[in-house]
Amino acid sequence: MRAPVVDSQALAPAPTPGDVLADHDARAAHAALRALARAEERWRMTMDSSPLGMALLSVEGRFLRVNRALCALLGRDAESLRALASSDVLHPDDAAVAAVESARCLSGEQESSRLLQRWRHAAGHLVWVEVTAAVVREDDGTPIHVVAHVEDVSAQMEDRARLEHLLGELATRTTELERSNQDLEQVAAVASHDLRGPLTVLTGWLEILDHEYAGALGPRGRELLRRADQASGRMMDLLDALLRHARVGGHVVERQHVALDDVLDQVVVDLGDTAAHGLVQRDLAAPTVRADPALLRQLLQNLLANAVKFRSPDRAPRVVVTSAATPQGHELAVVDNGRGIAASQRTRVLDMFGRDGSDPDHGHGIGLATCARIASLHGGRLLVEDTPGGGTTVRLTLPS
Amino acid sequence: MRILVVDDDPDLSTLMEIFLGRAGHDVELAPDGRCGLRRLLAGGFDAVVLDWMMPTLDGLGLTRAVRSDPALRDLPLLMVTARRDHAAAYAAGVDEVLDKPFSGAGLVSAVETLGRRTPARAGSAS
Repeated sequence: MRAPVVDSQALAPAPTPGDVLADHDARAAHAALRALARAEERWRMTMDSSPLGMALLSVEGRFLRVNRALCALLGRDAESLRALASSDVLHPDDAAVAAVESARCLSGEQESSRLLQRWRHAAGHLVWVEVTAAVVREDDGTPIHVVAHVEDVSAQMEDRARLEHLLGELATRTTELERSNQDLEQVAAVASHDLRGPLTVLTGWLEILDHEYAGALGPRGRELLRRADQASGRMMDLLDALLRHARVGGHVVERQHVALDDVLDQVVVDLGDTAAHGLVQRDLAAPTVRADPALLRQLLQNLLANAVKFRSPDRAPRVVVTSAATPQGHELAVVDNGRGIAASQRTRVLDMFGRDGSDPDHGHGIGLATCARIASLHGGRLLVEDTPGGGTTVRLTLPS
Repeated sequence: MRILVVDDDPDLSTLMEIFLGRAGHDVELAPDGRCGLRRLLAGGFDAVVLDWMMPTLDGLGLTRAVRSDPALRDLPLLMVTARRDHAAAYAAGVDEVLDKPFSGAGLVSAVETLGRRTPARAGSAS
């Protein structure tokens, strides 16, 4: 509608009834214009006070109206933007997707579109924006223009990129760590295997020496021979433990309900120490736990062997195995009254070769490390504590 | 018993020769699988003690060769090894596996048990 702005009194010397009507029309038109201008102003103010970039675009994509936030986002004034189309500021790599979405919206196939795009700032750099757009239509459905909200999401995108970078780095490190663990297991397995050959030769020669020359050696010579034989036996145990430790790493954990009484029966038999039969007591509040049967057996075997082996010279040995349900799962404990582990050594004994170097009889330092590994393969933990009154308590927590 | 020991480790071979010889057996040595097979084809052995990992022809290869030869097929085979995948050795056809390290008594007992368990085989190869 056109609105003539004219001075009606200057043009009309004598008012007639028709003039009065015309005058009335003009005033009504003027009022309507003022109302329209006010509405326009309110609309402009509304757009400008929005913290989000807003734009009205022609169906061809030319900027018709833009708000202050959008001007700030693109570093341009409204006038220069109105000379441009959205394709002028859009990164070429995002153009294809934008064209498809725009065609779908205009055809009515979809109500609106929401796209992550890169828009070019007047200074030359790119700004990550999320553009939400919808088509405004006539009553008959003909598109009039497009309304778009443009949000600057550069900060989120930077965070996302940083996060993705960190996740990538984490994945790389994890892979490296896994590979290095596998290498280590391989080395342990190969070393354990290859050392068996020379060890067989060594123990064999010692056996022949003992068999054929023991008489000629004298008491001192026989004592040295016995020590050499003991040392080769220890080396054998060490190689076995090393191989078991390496194997645990390659074991696929299959958790199932395991009856603790059954496992303990087997372990006590395997210990082969007749004294162990009466020595190990049970206090099993939880009769079953969910664990890998083979690994649990290996773990209990290690812990009970330690408990039986490292007795205190001052008191009759006693080992109690307890089990209990906890809110997280289960807790197993092997409580002995043996020699105990010095507080300074307690965390170290869980590391490979972390044994107390000052005590040559204190195991080879792999067994507890293997137990800790078994615990962690179950998603659980192994804790070494003092038994009140003397001895060691090893606690295993198993999540359900 | 006349026993062929096939092992590339001269120390271990000598050791096994002493252990088995002390128990009254007649022992011959072969330094690898191919040599061992040649000796066996010449005939006259009651049992074989063989290593797994050897040059030219390894223990599994020697075992398969023995098992596929009509004259040697039933020969008792004892494998001595530090490897733990015994199933592969049994699948190839060995009768028994003895873990390294072993004692003299352990070796003699394993060989003699095998010889007793398969008397028909012992005869057929000679």
